[in-house]
Amino acid sequence: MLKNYLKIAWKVLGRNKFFTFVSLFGISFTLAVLLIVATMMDDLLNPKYPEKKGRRTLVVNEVTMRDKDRTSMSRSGASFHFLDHYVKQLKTPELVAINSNGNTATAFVGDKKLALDLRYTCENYWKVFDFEFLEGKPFGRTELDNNAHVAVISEDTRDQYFGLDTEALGKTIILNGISYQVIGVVKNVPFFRGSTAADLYLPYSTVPWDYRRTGFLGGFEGSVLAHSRSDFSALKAEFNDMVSRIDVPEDEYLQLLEVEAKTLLEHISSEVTASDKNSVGLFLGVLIGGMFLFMLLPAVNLINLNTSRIMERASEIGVRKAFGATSSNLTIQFLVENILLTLIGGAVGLGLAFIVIQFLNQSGWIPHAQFRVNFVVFLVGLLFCLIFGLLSGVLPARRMSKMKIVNAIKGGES
Amino acid sequence: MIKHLFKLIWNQKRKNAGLLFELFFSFLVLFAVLTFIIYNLARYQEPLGFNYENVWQLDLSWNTLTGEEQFAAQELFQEHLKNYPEIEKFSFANRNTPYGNSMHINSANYGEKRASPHTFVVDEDFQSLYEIEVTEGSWFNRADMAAAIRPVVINEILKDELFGDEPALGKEFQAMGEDYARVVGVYQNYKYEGEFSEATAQMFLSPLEDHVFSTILLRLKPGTGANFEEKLLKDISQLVKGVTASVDYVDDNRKNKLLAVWLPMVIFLVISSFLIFNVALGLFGVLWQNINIRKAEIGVRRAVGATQTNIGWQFIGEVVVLSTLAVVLGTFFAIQFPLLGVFGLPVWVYLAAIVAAILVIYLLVALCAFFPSRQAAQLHPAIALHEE
Amino acid sequence: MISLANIEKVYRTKTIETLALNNINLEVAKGEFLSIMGPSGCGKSTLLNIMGLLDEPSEGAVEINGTQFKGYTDKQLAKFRNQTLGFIFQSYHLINDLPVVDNVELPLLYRKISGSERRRLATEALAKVGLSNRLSHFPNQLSGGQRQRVAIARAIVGNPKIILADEPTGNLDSVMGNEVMDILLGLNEKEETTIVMVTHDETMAQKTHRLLRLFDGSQVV
Repeated sequence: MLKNYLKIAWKVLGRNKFFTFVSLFGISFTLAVLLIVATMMDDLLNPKYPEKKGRRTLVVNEVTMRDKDRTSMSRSGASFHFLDHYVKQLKTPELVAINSNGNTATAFVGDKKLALDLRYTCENYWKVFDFEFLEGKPFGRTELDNNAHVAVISEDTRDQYFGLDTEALGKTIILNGISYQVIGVVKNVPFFRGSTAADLYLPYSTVPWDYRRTGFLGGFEGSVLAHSRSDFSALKAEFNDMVSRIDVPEDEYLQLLEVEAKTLLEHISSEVTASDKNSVGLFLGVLIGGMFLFMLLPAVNLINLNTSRIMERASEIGVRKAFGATSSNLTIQFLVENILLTLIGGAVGLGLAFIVIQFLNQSGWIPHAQFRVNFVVFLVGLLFCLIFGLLSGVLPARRMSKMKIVNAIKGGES
Repeated sequence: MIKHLFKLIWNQKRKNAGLLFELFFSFLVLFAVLTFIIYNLARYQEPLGFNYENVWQLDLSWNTLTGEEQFAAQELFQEHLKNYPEIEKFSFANRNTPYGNSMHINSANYGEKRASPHTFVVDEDFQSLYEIEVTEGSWFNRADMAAAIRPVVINEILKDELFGDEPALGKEFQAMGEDYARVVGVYQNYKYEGEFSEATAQMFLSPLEDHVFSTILLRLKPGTGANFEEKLLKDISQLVKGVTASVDYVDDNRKNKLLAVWLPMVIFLVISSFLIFNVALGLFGVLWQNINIRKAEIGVRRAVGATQTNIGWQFIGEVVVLSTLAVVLGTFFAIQFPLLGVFGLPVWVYLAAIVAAILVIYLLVALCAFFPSRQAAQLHPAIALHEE
Repeated sequence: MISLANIEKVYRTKTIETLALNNINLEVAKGEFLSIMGPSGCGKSTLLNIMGLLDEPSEGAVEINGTQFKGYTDKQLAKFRNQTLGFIFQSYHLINDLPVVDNVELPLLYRKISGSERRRLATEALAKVGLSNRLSHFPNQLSGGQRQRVAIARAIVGNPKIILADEPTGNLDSVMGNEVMDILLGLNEKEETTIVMVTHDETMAQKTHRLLRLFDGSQVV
């Protein structure tokens, strides 16, 4: 029976090529956009290189200090002191990594200038995150203790500074006028990886300013690796308990300390929505709502097209009914047609999305991004297709199946 | 005739509801995108008020230096920078510079008047370096800075807010808390947040005597490149140990800042164009289909004396009436934005966006209706009436 | 009133050429009620369409009320149809989205007549066909006979000299068919309207003044 439905559907689509084209255009474009967004969201929200343990990592990257009356506030990253003295002492985590954020270094190659994003990191950083080393190895406790001027650089930095695919291990790179020896080269990290994107990584012992001073605000952030995801609640509880025990010195103007250990999703949500409370719900709500709104116009368009196409086919419907087709037969037939159409559109949309994503990856517009349309995204796309197909097919199909036989045969006076 | 069209549309409620919704929604999409674009283009039209070409921004990190060491280093740089033939002019400033990410807002009080100007602390050379046009008085000089009351240069918006129509020159007002400052000059524009930013109340305060700056702006001879930058940074690190310096080309910062507006603008435009194109194709398809369904009606109309032109206009008329309904409905929603003052954009921007969206909708439906209507008009009456 | 001379109509497709009408000569006098009969596909409707200026003959000349139409523009033809001719169709061809009275007003819509005058004339016409109480009904709320009466009202509202009816009783049972026929006969008698009617129904045809039989595009009698 389904085979029969499909056969008819295929013929119907071929019969009116203009309508099929218009419908396919709308469906494939809409789905291509949705798939591209979904792919990007997948890359952003799911654990990806080098933050592969992202599912069991919490980040501490925002500290807020307020005065007693809550009229003034100051917000930035955490201080090294806070992370080293308090966060590192927590019992629940497997590991705590500390790294700086938002630092830059300048290097020169001939008459060209390289403005490099730089992170000062500790030795645990290389254990919490799974960097892929193309050459050499990370620095460890020894280098930190000896105040060694060593650097881990990205592939891109190597290519720009030493030349394309030139071995860099052991060579010297001059950063802000200071010589560092390259100890490792890692695969590039997309710029939107909050804890790992950088052009080079240096031991925190080489930080030029007084990073060990007390206080809570600073340019550092911590990544807290839990043994498993189920430890999160215990970890957060211990963290909050630790924070509540901290006594800010009496003479400080900003007395109240607010800091949280957040999951990646919580962190991104609060970044995007710029709100502290319920940001995950808000973020996902806006995302899904936005996608729905974006789908709405093409869906209504398809409903309109379908409805008027049905009117054209009124006599066919009448004849089918006269020969014993039930309303549900006809509804199914029409839904099969519509879903077939959306699936073809979905396939085209998938192709389009694939091309755009390849183009984005290769153009370098989004630095170092390597988006991939994966199976989950594909399933999401398929789901969108079916929703789209049902959404735009049900209404017209109902209307069609209600049509009176006599009128239908005569040509569509409903 | 219009009443006739309304009746036709009204009695086809169910079919037309879809089209109406589609047009209404398209209108809202257009309104949103056009508001965004018109607003930004209007901002872009306003003069920038300074010249960013060949300007470098040298940011200093004092790291572990003490206050006195910093001040001494600053004096040293002041003398040293004069020695480079590549540097035409230089000026010390706080970090809130053009196309940067910092802003600093202060209170300013004059009698009962209160204002919150963006505040810049810069030295006496800043105006000539950035070529800011002073319309009244002049920029502060060494002599002004030696006076007991701090000199300040304000822009016309702040002048309006504090002094209204009164002359501003020589007036003293509370800037930065309790301390008074005396107005020595008024300038027109300095859109330091970029071409797309809105003009705000601003003031330039002269530095206190022991003020340590964090940024040096350099106007270079055209064609100066990274070689000089490398030399300069090396010299600075040798001149004062412990200082980290980095150079940004203001031109590059500008490009990034502008991109942050251009990019969403282009993305919105592309996506909405596709949506609208999609709607247009759909509309075209539906109208085309309508002719097939309404063949008999066309035949009857022709038989009772409608000309081809009558038929063509009737079909266009129906769509125009329908889109008028959609536009009226859409305008009702759109007009809430200026009425409620959401987002705080100027009213004329919303109105311009509404008008532009209306025009686009009508243009769109006229284009979509043209061919189907012509097709309807040219339908042969005998064929149209042919009994199946 | 209507004069057809040597009318020929050929339909051409890529492969086939069909002769729909062959050498028709016909005079219809003022006030005459003519019926045309013949089997399906004999060209009756084509002939009626040519008389109604809805279609052009391949050969021959049409003259109605002393007017010849060579070189007439679409606009002139439309005006002539509007002023002089009224049409009735087998399947009524009412506009379902408009109430009865608006359907009847339709021909007046293409004249320069005020809305209230249109309404008055349409109401009058509906009174003549006995449907004064159905003004604001929609066509699909009416029976077949009532619908055809609405169609007649639409045909006569512009006070035409000629009515062309294409199987007006074809979709109706005998009771309703007779009602419609009586109205047409009354019009012919009282208002001296010239009527040409295509029909399948011998008894209906017998009620008219003259009968023309067509077979395969040619006059039989």
